[in-house]
Amino acid sequence: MTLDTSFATAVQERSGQDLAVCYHCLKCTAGCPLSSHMDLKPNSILRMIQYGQRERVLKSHAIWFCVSCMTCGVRCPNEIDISAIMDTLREMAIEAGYAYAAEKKVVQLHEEFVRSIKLWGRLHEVTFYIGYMARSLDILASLPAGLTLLARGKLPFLPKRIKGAKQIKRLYERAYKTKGQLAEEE
Amino acid sequence: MQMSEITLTIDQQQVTLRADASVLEACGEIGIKIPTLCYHKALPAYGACRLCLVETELGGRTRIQASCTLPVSEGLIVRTDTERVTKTRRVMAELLLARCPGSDRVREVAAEIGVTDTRFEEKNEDCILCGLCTRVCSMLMGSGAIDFGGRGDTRRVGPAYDKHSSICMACGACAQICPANAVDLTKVSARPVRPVGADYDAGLVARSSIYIPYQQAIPKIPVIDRSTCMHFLKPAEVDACRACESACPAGAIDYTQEDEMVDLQVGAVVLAPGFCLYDAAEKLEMGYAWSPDVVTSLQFERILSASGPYEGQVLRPSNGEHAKQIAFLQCIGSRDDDHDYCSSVCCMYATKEAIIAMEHQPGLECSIFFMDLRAFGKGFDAYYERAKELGVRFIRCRPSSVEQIEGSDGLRVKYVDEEGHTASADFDLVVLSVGLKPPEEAKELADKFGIELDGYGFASTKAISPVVTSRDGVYVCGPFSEPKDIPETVTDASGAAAQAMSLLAEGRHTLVTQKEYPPEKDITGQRPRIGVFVCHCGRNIGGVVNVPETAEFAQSLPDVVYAEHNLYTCSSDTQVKIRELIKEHDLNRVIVASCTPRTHEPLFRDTVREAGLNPYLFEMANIRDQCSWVHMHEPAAATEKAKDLVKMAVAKARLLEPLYITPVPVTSVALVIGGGVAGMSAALNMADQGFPVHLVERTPELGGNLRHIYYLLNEEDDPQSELEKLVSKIEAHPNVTVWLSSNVARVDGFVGNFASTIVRDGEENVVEHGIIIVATGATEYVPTEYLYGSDERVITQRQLEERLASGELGAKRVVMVQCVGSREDGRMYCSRVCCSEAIKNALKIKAEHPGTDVFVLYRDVRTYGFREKYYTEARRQGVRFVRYEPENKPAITADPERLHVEAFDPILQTTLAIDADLVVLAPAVVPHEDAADVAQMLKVPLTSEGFFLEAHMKLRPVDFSADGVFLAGLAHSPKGIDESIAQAQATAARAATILSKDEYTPEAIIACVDEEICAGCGLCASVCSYDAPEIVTVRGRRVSRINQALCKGCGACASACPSGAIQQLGFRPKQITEMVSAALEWE
Amino acid sequence: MTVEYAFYPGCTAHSTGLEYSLSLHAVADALGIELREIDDWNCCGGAAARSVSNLLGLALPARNIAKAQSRDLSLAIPCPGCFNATKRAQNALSNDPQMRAQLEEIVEFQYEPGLDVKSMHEIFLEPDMLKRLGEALKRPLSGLRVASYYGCALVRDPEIVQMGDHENPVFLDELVSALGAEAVDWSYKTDCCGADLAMTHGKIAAEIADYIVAGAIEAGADCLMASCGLCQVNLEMRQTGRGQKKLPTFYFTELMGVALDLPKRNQWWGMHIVNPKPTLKILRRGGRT
Repeated sequence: MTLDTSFATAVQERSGQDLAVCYHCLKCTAGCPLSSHMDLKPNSILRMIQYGQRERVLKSHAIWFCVSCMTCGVRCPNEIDISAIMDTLREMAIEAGYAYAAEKKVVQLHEEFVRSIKLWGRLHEVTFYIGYMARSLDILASLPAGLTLLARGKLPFLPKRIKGAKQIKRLYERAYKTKGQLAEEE
Repeated sequence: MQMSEITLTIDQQQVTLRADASVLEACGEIGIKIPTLCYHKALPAYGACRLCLVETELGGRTRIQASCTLPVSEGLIVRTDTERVTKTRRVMAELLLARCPGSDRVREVAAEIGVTDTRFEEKNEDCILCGLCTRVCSMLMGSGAIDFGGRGDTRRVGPAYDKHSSICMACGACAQICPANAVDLTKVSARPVRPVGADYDAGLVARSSIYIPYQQAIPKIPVIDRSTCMHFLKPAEVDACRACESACPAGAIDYTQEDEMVDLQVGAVVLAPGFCLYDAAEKLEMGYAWSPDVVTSLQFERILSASGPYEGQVLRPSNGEHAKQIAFLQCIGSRDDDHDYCSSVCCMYATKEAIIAMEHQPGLECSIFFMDLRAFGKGFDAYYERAKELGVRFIRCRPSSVEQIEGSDGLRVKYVDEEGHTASADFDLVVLSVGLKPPEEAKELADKFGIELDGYGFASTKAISPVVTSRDGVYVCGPFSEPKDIPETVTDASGAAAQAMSLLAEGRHTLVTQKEYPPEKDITGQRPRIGVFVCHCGRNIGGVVNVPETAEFAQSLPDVVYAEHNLYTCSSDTQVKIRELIKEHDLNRVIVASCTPRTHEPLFRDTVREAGLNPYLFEMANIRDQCSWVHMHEPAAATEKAKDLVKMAVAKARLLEPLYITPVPVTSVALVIGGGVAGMSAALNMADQGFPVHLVERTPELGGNLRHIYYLLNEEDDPQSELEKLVSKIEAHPNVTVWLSSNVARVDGFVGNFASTIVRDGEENVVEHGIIIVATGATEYVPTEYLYGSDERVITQRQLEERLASGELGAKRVVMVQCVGSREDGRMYCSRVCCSEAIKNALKIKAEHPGTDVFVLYRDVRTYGFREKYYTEARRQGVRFVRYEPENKPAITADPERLHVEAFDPILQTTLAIDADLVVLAPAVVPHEDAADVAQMLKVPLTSEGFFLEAHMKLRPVDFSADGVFLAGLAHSPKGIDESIAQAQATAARAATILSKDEYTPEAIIACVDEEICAGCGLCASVCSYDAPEIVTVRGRRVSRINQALCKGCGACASACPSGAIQQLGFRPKQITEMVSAALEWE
Repeated sequence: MTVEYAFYPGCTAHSTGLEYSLSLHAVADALGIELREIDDWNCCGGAAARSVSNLLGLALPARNIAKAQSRDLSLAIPCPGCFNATKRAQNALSNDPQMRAQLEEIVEFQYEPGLDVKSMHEIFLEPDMLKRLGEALKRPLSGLRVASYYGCALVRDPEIVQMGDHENPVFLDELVSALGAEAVDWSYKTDCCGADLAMTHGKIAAEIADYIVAGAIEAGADCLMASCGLCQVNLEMRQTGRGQKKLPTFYFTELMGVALDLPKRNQWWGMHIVNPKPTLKILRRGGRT
C-alpha cells in the first residue's frame, strides 16, 4: 500500500484534532446513535485517515450521517473531538465535489438551509422547504412532514428580510465563498 | 470512695451489690433473664414497657413492680417466676402485641414469655412509645430533635411541628435503639442521611463510629472515628453519648487519648505509602454514581471474600440476589488523556476475579471488556489462556456507557463486536476495573522528605536505581513509584531494605535487642495435658464446619484438659490468650485446628515457646485447606471430618517430644553466578554491606545482555556509560572477587557453609561461602519464521538497535512483528520487554530518520506502567499499530527490490499489503541453555518453560525453596533493566538475613539414626537428594549419620531404611500409626 | 420586580417552535421576566451551516453576539441549538485568537469578552425564580410522570455549554419536581433525536424516535418534556406508534404554563402533532389512583 500522509495532516490541521493518537478502543463507534446506519464506522474513518485513504473517506455516507451529537467526543479517552473532524471532512467532501455522489439529499438540505439564511438573514422554513423539495425531488418523503406542520398553522408563508441582509451577504462572501463553493450557488 | 453495699434475695438466692443498682441489674448479676423493651444500659431506667415486672416482698407486703426502676434495698425479697408475675407480664406483652403486631422485636420478647397472639384489638401502630429514641436523643446526644407529641391515643413521637429537624445531626441513634424499627431518619432530619461506609469493605456496608477496623487487625482493639462520633462532634460541655463507655465491661474506653509525637533518629527512610484508587464516579457514563450494581473492582474483591459482606456469595448490592451475568470494564481511570499510564494490575485482577466468581457460583457468566490484555507477568499468559478455557468471555472493546434497562433493574452495556458491528449486552452486575493513582498523601510526603514526584504525582526514580529517590537515604518501594503488582512490590521492598543496609552497614547490630524466651519447662515423665484451639477463620471454616461442636468434641478426647474456639486463632489477642491458658491449665501440648501449617505453624510454635514450652510440643490440624474449603457444600460431613482430624492431631500430640537443634556457624561470604546487570547489582550491594563476594561470569567480560542496549525508553540515562560505571565499581571494590570465563562446576555443603568449585581455564578453585545468588540471565530466541536468516532485510530488534546506534538505517519503511516465538504453544508466556523495545526503536527511527514509515504488527500492546506514554507518543509520531491474531499471522515474501508483508487489519476488516525495506522481529526471551545444569547442581526447580522457579510467586519472589539460594534477573523470567536491578538488590537483602548472623539454625524436623539398629547399608544415602546421610564407622561398625544442616526432613531415608533405624523426628512411626488408628478408630 | 434579559428568539420561535415561544413568553410574563429581543438578529446557522462550512457556522452566531455584547444584559436563548451554536462561537472568540481575528473581519465587529450567554432553563432554575415559581404555582402537576429529554445541544460539549453533568443531567427533572410532577429516571435523556437527518432519512429518525419513546414508556412516563424545537418535532412527528402508544412531547414552558394555570394555554395544544389533551386529563383526575 502507498501511504499519503498529506490527507491526515490536512484533516488534523483543519479540525485541530490530534487523530493520530486514536488507539481504536471502539468507544466512539459503540456509543454513536447512527453508527449502525453508517457505511464506515467513526473509528474506521479515523483509521482510513491515518492510512491516507482520502477518496473513500470523503465519498462515504457516514460523514453526512453524523449529526454532531458529540457523544463520541465527550467520552473519547484520547479526547479527540470526532464531530469536529466530521465537520472538516464534510467541508472537504464539498470542496472535492464528492458530496452529492454520497448523500445528495443531505447536502442539498444543508445548502438550502444556508441559502435561506443568506437570502433572508433567518431561516424561512416554507421557502427553504420548497427549495429543498424542488432540488431534491424528495417530495414524497418530505411533503407530508411539511404539510403536517403547515396544518398546525405554524409556518408563516411569506419570508421577511432582516435589515442587515446586506451584511449577511458580505459575511457569506467572506466566510463561505472563501471555501470554493459548488458552482450552482448563485 | 467505697460505695456501701446491699444484700437482697432473688428467687431464694442471696445477692450482694452496690446500693445504687436496680433490681433488674441485680437479677442480671446472678444470670436471671428479665424481659425488657424500653430498658437500655446507657440510659436511666424508664419503666414504660412494664415487661420487667417482678414480685417484691418487704415487711410482709408483696407488690408487683417494674424491676428496672426499682432500686435494691436491704432485705428485699424478689420473685421473678411466680404465676402472678408471669400472668401480668403476659398481659403487658399482649397489649404491646396489639399495638405493634408488626414489630419483630415485640413478637420476639412476647414469644420468650409464651405470648404469640393477643386478645386485644390490633392497632397496627409501629411505635410502642417506649421513649428510647427521645431519651437517647436528648439525654445522650444532647440534641432533643424528637419528642412525644399528642396525648392518649394520639400520643406519638416526631420532630417539632413534624418538620424536618435542623438540630438533628442524623447520628441515627434513635433508629438504631428503637426496638420496633419505627424510626425513619429521612423523615426526622433535615440533613442528608447516609450511613458511614466501612472502609475495609470498600463502603459496601455501614459501620458504627467506634469499630474494629477488621477481624485480623493488629492490635485488635476498637478505634473511634472522631469525624462521625457524636461525643466529639458535639461541644465538649455537652459531653454527648458515652454509650460505648457504658457498654464496655472492661472500662477500656478513653475519650481523652490524643495522637502523640515520637522523635526517631534514623539513618535511612523507606517510603511505602502504596497507592489510591481512581474515583469511579468521575466516569459519568459508567453509572457508578447512580447504580448500586455498578461496583469497583475493590468492592468486588470484598464481595468475593469469605470475610466480606456477603460471605463470598456473588450478590447484587441492590437487591441481594445472585448475579447471573457480570461485566468487567477495564481501564477505568487508566490509559486515557488524564492518566497516560497503564495501571499494570487490572487485566489480571479482573481475570482472577472472574475465575473466582465462577468458582463461587457455577453457571455464572463473566465478560471482560478490554483494549489490550496485559498478561505480561510470570505465568500470566497461561492463566489468561486458562480463563478462556473456563469460559470467561474477553471482548476487545471499550464500551461507550452503562445504561439502566428501562422497566427492569438490569444494566445494558453498548460495545462493538469482533466484526466491528455495534452490539449491546445485558448484565446484572458491572465491575469497573479502576486504575491506580498516587497515594493521597504523596504531595505531603514529598514535601516532608524533600523528594521529587514525577508528572503523574508518583515518586520519581530512575531505571538504573529503581528504589532510590531524588534524595540520598530516602528510598521507595511498591506502587508509590509506579503502578505494580505484588511480586514487584515485595521485590522493591527487599531492594529498598538492601539500599538502607548498605548505607548503614557500620551501624548493623548496634540497636538489636535479643528476644528473651522464658526458660523451657521440662515435661519429661509428665502426663500429656493437651489444649485444643479450634479456629473459625471468619467464615472460611465457621461457615462450613460446626466449630463449637468440634471444640466440644475435642474436650471429650483423652488427655485434652482444655478446648475452645476462636474467630481468628491467629489474631494477636488470641496469642496472648493461648499463653495465659497454657500457664493456667499447665498445658504441655498445644493443638491448633485451623488453616494450614504452611503459613501459621511458625507463629503458634513461637507462641507456645513464649509460654515456656518447647516449640515442637505444638501440633496443627488442617481443617480449612483440607476440610472446609474442599467440602464447602457438605457441612455435616465436613464437621465429622474436622472432628476426625482433631482426634488424629490429639493422638499424635500425646506422643510429641521436645526437639532440639544445634545452630551451625555461617561463612559470611556470597557467591553470585552471572555477571550481567543483575549479578553485578547484587554483588555490589552485598559488597557495600561489607560481605566478601565471589562474582562468577561465564564469558570473558561483565555486562551480559546490557552490552547490547544502547538507549532506554525514557532517554534519561545512557545504558552503556551506566554499565561502564557499574563494571568499574565492581572491579575496584575490595570485597568483590571477579571470576571471568569461569563456571561453577560443583556446589557442596549447605546454607551458611557452602564450598563451591569454580573452574577457570581448566584449573579448579574451591571457595567457601554462605549463600548463592543465581543471576545466570537469559538469551534471545533465534527465529525460524518470517524469512529470518534467509533474507538479511529481516532482522531482530536487537540488531535494529545496533544499527540505529551506529546511525545508519537504510530503510524508508520498517515493519515490526511482535511476539515472535512468544505466547504460543511451547512458549506460552509473554517476553514482557518486546513491546517497549519496539516502541523505543520506532520512536528512535521517527526522531533520527524522519519520513520513515513504521508499522508495528502486534497481538496486544503491553506497555504497562509508565511505558504507556511512549506508546501514546509513538502513535502521535505516526507509528502505525496493526493487531494480528495468532491464527492469522502476517505473511512475508521477498523479491530483490522489497519485502512484501500481508497483514489482516481487524479495524478495517481487510488485508493490508505493505511493501517494506526492513522487517524487524521481536524474538522471545528464552532461558539460558545451561539453566537446567545449574538447577540440578543447586537442586532448585525450573518452570515448564525452563526459567528458575521461586519459592512463592508473590510472597517470596527472589527466594528458592532451598535455603540460602536466591534468584534475580532474566533467569527468573523476562523483565526490564529496572526490574532486574530491583530483584538483584532484593536478593542482596535476603542474603543479608543469613550472612549478617554468626550462626544459622536449621529445621529440627529431620531424620535421626538409631545407631544400635543401623546396619550401615547406605540405602539412606543413595535415596537422599541432599547428601544428608553419611556412612561413618563408629567402634568398628559402619553406621549412617545425618548432617543436621543438610537434612530437609523429606523423610525419604526413613521410609527407605530396611531396618527401621532411621526415624523422622516429629513423624515417628508410632506417632503416625497412632494418628491412623485414631482415624480408623482402632482402640 | 421584573428581571431583564437580552433575548434571542431563534428562527423556530415563529414557526415549528411556535407553542414554545408562546408558552415561554406567557410564563416569563407570569414570573416577571422581561425579555428584550435583540435588534435585527440572524439565524445561528443551526447544524447545517457548520456542516458545509465550519467558519460560517461560527460567523453567523458571532454576528448575534456582536448585536448583544454592547448591552449590559445577559443574553437569554430558548433554543438549545441556538444556545449551543452561540456558545461555540463565543468559545472560539474568547480562546482562539486566530479565529477571533478572522471572525471579527468577517462579521465586521470588535469582540468584547464578558457577554453572559444563558439558556432559558438556567434562568428559570435560578433560586429566586424557583421561589417565584413556588409562590405562583396554582395547579401542581401531581400524578403526572414526566421524562425530561435534554437531547445533545443543551449538555454537549460540556466544556463549552457548561451545564454540569452531561451524562445524567437532572436540572430539568428539578424543574419537573418544582412543578409538582414526578420526574421519571430514565437512560435516554441525552440520546440524540436524529436532528435534521429526520428530513432526509425519515426511517432512521423514526427508529430513533421510537427507541427513545419506548424508553420513556418503559420508565413509566406519561409524556416527554423537551426544550428544543427540532427534538420536539422529531419526537412527536417521527414516532410511529407501532407496537406502543404515542407519547406527547411538551415544551417545559408549556408544563410550567399549566402549573401556573395560565389562561392562554389551551391555544398551544392544537399545535402539537401528538394530541396532549388525554395526557393532561391525568391532572384533572387529580393524579392517578
